[in-house]
Amino acid sequence: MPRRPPPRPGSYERIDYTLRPAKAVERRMMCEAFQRLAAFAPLSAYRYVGLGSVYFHDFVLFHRSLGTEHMISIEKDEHNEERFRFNLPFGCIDLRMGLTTKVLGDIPWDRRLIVWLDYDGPLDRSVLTDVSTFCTQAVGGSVVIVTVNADPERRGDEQEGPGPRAPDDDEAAVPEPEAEGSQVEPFSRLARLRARLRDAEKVPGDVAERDLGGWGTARVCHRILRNQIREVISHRNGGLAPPRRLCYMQLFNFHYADGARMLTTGGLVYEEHQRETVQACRFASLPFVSDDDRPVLIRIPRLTHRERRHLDQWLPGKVPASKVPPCVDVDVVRQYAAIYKHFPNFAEVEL
Amino acid sequence: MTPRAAPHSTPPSTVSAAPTRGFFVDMLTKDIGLAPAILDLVDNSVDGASRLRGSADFDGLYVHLATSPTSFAIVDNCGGIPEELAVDYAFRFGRPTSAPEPGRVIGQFGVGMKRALFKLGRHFRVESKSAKWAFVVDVDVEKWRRLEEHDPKADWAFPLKVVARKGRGAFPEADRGTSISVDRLHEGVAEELALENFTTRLGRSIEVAHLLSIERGLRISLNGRRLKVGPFRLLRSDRLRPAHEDFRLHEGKLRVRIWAGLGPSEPEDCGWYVFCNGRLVLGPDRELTTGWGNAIPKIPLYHPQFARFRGYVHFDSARGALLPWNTTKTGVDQGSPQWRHTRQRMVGMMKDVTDFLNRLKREQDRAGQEGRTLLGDYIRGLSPKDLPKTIGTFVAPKSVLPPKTAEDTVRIQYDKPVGQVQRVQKGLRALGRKAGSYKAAGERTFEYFLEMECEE
Repeated sequence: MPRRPPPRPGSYERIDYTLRPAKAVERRMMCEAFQRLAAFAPLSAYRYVGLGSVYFHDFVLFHRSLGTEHMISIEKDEHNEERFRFNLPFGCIDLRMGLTTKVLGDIPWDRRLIVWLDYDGPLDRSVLTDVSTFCTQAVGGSVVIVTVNADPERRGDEQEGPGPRAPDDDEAAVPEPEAEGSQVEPFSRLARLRARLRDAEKVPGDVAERDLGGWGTARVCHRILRNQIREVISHRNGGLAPPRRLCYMQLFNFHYADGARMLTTGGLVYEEHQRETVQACRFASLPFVSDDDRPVLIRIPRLTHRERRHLDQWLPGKVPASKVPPCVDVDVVRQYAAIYKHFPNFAEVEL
Repeated sequence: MTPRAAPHSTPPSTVSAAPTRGFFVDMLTKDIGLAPAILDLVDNSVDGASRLRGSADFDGLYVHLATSPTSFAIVDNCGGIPEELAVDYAFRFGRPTSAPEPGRVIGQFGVGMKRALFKLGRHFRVESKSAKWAFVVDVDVEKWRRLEEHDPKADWAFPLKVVARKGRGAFPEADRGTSISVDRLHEGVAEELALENFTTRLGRSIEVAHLLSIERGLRISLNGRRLKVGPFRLLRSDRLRPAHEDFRLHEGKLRVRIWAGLGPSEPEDCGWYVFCNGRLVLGPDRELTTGWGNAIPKIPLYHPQFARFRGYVHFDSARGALLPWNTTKTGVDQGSPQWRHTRQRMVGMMKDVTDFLNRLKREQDRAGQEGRTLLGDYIRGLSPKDLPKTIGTFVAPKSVLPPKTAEDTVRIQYDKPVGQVQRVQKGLRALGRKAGSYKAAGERTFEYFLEMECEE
């Protein structure tokens, strides 16, 4: 029966984004990949579209590292608009208030885009709507990235209410799951996922309940997002001359958990005739790029500042066993070696 | 009209109405989507299973489909295509009206298989073995259509090669079956088959269209995954009974059975399902076609509060022409008298059900968003059962008394300042006892006190 939970503050009220190390690593890795897009056009000519919240970490990083000056931040929390405006770090950021499903369609699609839909709610239909909006409009050489919460659902999770990204406008017409306490209809993650997508056919037929435990939800969400991108692009290609047909090249398939398990996936949309340009980007040489189902798990090694500085002396390369700091597991050293270039230094960031 | 080459001596004053092969290959295939075309091929296999088993179950029979961006295949062990069917029907264009009634089957229009094969690609091969013979039809579609350019009078036949015959006795049942493969797929087909979303949708269409055959034991698989159906049932108890009618039209030649009642609260599954000879042709439908939003009697437009509504209509006849389906089997022929008659009865039956669901909604509204009602709890406590055979109208409880086994309950109401209640809610949250509403806050604090402070 319909149940409207009281409005919840945006996640920025609950989580200090500066303390999400895996997310910071992910952001820096993506930034390194974006630099390769220079083969298409100078990064300053790209437009970045993100969900900046009050922290604007992604905006700061991409403006400073890529030189991107055309920037749009979408924010749905209209009650606190003034606060978002107050926190805008640069004059070149155009803050647009509203739901992504409403605002995204109105952004200018004339230039190449990097769109990062960094939701913190789970995958639902409005996410697929946003992805479809991008795939039907974006010009070749644009990048779309989606981050969703992919923690396996637990009974009672739906009482949390919608995340900061708002649901579709037709939300009101959709029945809520049956009231709690009904013993006959057992809790099912698969049923919940289907209900959120409101289209059972988006969930691949072989996905079973047991596939949604642990990182399984992230794997399934990755498949659903990739399928959606491919399908929309395939439809868009209908009737286009072969050189103008669009292709999708996945770049990212990150799994990480600063708290809840998260999935980030996305990639480059380009036209067939731009294939050589894509090759010039040499994305495959980046170790954190994944173009298939195999995720790149970002793990944050628990190391002290001194231990990290010590390990840095042998990186890149192999840290000799005798040089591993005392009582530190070699596995932790390996984790660190994989991400040290992108490891955030909190003390510097907030100064 | 049976398409054939024009007669030799056409007088100049008449125009040949015989279609060209090109017309058939290019135009007819545009009338059907890829998924319905593939469903037509599955229909042929299911018809084979019916020929083989009659009304018995389909245990041991299978239909395997395999799709890839470069090829399509469907293989079954459903008895193969017998000679008379192959010669008079399966490879002809349009079923001749002189052909005998094929009995209660799904493939009625005599275009399905050819249309599907042309739709898919430029080369196909059909191999089949039935009781008395085995044959191969291998067609390069481009070559086949060019034959006409060289000789406009050429017959429309496909080259059929008989591979084996049994004079006496028959090939063992285990060896019989049909295997169809198509390659050199059309570009659009290859693109669709490359999409996982398409195969997911195709699998679901087959599951829905052939749920009755799957229930009878037919194993249908798509790319190695066995297709299954949620059982096709309605909630039933001594106090809740679905409406059911069973009648015949057209001098008894068309049997119609209708059920209307309640199922699990699944908005996606809600609506009417219309079957012709066991094949789903429409549904779940929540549109005016099946009575939603009907004026007289007044039926509401579909709304989520009706998510429990389920209606099933079965048309069965040995005469395909009496069935109210369209040629692509993707909807009903709304103009047919059989459909209009049946729809009227459906509307009458669904009215009782929607009235009941409205009552359920009103009780729920009175109890508040999180409240529980006896009637709601009663319905939630029921499990789906097979469709009843007893004819009758929809029966539902007016009110439900608490079950005798449960403890007597009393209702507690009190007023407290909002600020205090919100503090309590916050405190409950900290204890991991979520209380989203004030009512829940009252209940959770009661439960907390009971658990922590009261002895057993």
